[in-house]
Amino acid sequence: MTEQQWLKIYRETVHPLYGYMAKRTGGNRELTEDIVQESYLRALGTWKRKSMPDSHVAWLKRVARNILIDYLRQKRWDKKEDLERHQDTDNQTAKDQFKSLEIFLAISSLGRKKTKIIEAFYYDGKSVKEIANTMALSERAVEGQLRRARLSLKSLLPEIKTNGEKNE
Amino acid sequence: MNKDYEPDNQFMEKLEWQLSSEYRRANRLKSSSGKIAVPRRMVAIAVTIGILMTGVAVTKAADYIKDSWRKKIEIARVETEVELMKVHLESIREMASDIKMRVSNGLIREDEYQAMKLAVENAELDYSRSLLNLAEVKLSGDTPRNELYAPLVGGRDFVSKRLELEKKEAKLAMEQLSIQQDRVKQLVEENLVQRDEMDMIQAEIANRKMKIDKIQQRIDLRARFLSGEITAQEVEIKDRMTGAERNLQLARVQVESLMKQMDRMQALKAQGTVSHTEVMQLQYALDAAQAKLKLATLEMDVLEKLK
Repeated sequence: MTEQQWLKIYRETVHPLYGYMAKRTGGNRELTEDIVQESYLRALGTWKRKSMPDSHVAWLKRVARNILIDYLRQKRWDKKEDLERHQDTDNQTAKDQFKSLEIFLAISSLGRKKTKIIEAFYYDGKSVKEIANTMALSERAVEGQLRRARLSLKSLLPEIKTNGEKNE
Repeated sequence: MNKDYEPDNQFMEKLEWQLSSEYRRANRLKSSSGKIAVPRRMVAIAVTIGILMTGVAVTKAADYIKDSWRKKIEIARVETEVELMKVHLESIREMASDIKMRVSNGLIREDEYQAMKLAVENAELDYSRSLLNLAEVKLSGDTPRNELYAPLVGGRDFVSKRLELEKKEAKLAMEQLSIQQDRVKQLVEENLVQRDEMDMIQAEIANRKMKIDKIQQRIDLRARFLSGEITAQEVEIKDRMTGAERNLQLARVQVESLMKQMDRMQALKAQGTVSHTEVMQLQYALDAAQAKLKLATLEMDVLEKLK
């Protein structure tokens, strides 16, 4: 991989990767930027050692997602303190971003299939039909998984309402 | 599109510049698979030192009698090795401190730093081994000997010391695997990776344990030889027996692990979630492991007869 190729990959993938991550962090710019940066650094290290993935953006998204999950799990012990701090503040954006991260962490713990479906539906804005086609499932099965995922989320996050609206 | 979901230009420019610099920096580091990268400049210095030392040794060798020039050249060779190990160690220490900084901002997992720490310890062992070799060459004037029946050199037992280092190295590798095992266990519980990966790590851990046992057995054999309890020939046969037993155990573990994987793979094939090709690939691996097991059994039989 030459430097030109590397920068071309960066320019082609930075927008979709940033959008993907920003939706999951609730638009938290600082965190999104840190994770996007770290994902590219890992790509550089890994792709030079091993072979390049078939889809650069899919690889970067997967790594970015894992970094976010690791980051949130590492911060789990500070959760209570963060929550109290955000409750004291008047800054509505900070509160929303905190909630978004809480929701993302809860979604990531739902199990592989449910997580994939709920992320595709809410974060990536895909329709039930599109998800069904991608995952080789029936539309009814996808709807069932979505319903069960919402129920699980309600039990995990009783203070947050899951009203079924899409995150545009 | 919500503007919060779009990167701003300043961030993009800064990141592009950083990635371009990182790319160039990475290219300056000579990297090969399975080995830690060493800065090219450092390698160049080490190689120059090596060439100079070898060159000096070769030039001066003509002035010495036969035994003497052999010794000088051997010393120059091992001194070069020591220099290279030293550069390698310094480079790895530098990388470890860089990773430590990245861990502190929460973007790299702690276990990755642990793996790097182990790599530093490994490099320290390599450096110690090269120093040991140099001390031996200076005393004997010949290439270091690793046979269990090699005599003491200047009253020092270099063979046992090298075996102790080898044992430490194997223990470090075990620690690294344990870190990986914890991580994979967590991922398996969260359904993020297949159970097979856990089996593979467990098989590797069993393999490492056997390796450590084998090194310990070799240390014990060496002690028995030095005490005069057994002869050089007996040491050789017993050492080979230990190796053959290990090969046999390894082959058994591998066959068992692959058979378990095969059972799971067959079940997945019945559900239609894996292809016939994947099953065939695993079957080939199993056949090869079974052939190794037969060979190891045969080797044991031959050695038993020699004994």
